Amino acid sequence: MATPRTPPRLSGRALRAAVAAAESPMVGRSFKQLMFRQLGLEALMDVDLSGTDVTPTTLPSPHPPTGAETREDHGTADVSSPDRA
Amino acid sequence: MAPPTFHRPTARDYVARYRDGQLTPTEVARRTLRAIEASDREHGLTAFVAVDRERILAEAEAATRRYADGSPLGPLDGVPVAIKDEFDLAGYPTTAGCAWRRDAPPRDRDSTVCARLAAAGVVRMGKTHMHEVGLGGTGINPHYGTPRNPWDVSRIPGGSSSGSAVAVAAGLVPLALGSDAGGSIRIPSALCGVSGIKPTYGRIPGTGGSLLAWSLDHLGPLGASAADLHAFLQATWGPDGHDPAATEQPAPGALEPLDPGDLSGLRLAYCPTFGMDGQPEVVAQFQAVISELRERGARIETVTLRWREQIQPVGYLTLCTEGATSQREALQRHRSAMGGDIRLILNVGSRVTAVEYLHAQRIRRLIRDELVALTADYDAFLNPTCATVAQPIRADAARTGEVDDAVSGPLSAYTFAGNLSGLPAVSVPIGTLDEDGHRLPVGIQLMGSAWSETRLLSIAAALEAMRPMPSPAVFYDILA
Repeated sequence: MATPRTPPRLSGRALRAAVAAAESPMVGRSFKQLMFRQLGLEALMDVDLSGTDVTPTTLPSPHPPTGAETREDHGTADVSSPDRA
Repeated sequence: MAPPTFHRPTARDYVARYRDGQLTPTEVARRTLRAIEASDREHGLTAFVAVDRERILAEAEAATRRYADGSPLGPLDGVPVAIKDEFDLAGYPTTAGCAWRRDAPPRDRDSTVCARLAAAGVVRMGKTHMHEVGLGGTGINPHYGTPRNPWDVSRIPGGSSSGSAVAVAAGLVPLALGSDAGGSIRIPSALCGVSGIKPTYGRIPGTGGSLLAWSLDHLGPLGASAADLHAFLQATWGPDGHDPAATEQPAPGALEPLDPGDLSGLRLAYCPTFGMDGQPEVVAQFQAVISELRERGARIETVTLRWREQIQPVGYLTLCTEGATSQREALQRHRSAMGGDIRLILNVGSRVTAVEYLHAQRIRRLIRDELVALTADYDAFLNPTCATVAQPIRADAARTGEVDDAVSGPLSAYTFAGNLSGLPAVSVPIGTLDEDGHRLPVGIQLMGSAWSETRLLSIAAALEAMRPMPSPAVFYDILA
């Protein structure tokens, strides 16, 4: 994934033209698809999940969130020793 | 590797000077203010966007009095810490790197993280520059200027926590607050040769932050050492009752002192097809560390990642879509004041359909489950933090912003894994390589299971001892 997939380098005038295209009601959608293709997102849409029973996650919730404690536990730093850090 | 003749002052060094009476927080704050000015004047570093001298000296004087009274608040009392300009700090506006926020009024209250730093006695040393709205890995900001990499001031610092990384790397502060939605703590840490941690999702509440992408954003520190990162984490972790992402969680325990000469207790893993396709010299540095860890007794296994090729695309899609949503009103009202790169990415994100976003989130679930299972079996999963070292800043990119996957793609190629999964990830400098007559840092990333920050930072501390870093070309020793 480190190998760049897209040759265009957009800055200066080229970037301004790209912004105009992206904001255009006429070509904005096509421009999005171009960006998708160049950034590998089109291939992402081709991933077939039909054999999987996977629900989307919209918030990461790494588990297990065990050993719950509260903030009160933490204000008792031992300041007598700099090694406490 | 350069000889280990350089010691980067840590927060612990600052506190030791205060305790033995060699220095006071007030004197250190004065020196830091002078060094910030000098770093701009002499080298154009521009790490800081706003520095309120009176507020800083008031906080430093309060810390000085506590030491004089024999009642310091803890291991960070009187330590200067820079604040990324994405988080509210009373008395300062929060611009998040946006030109349209340039004249925003000062905030009247602290963000949760800044309030907790104040409670720990920290001297909040002003606000640092950042990539506009945090949406970019280079740190290039056409509105406020691009902070310069202290290893080579013609190169990017990395972003989005660009000023925070530069401030730590140049020795201006030992710690700085950053945030990370796709690598924004770890990328600039790696490119500037300092340590940085993106903790577990929800570890530090984002309340009072102008954040970008709800499901990807993490707060965390960049610092002079792993021990400093740990001290920061201890001062700022835990729910605040406002940020729904910051739920009940275990406390970070004490650092485990690992013997860098004998790491036989460690079980580590890396994937030969994830992280080995970058700049050859970066890969070589990473492989050298793997060999060195093995020589010191660590058990290192290779693993496969089925969903590795989807990690960065899912990260991109999630980031640009959530970013377009969080910045929706700003894009409608202030688009002409936005940098071209931000405007372009947000417009593309605005056109992502719900079906596309949710399809990506289904794949994200598979990525997350795979990484959660992997990190359950090992102390850490390793890869280079970035696939390249810092690249030069091009003149027109500095003027308008830049969208260039050849530059930004290799920066976040491996970092998104931590954001998509919510698992903690640390970047530690492991050496430098020579390019165009400059030494440029390389970082290694360690990712672990949920809430395992202390274990990761203990390993990071051993790596710091194993691979001491030379000094950057631009460095100010505040304690000297």
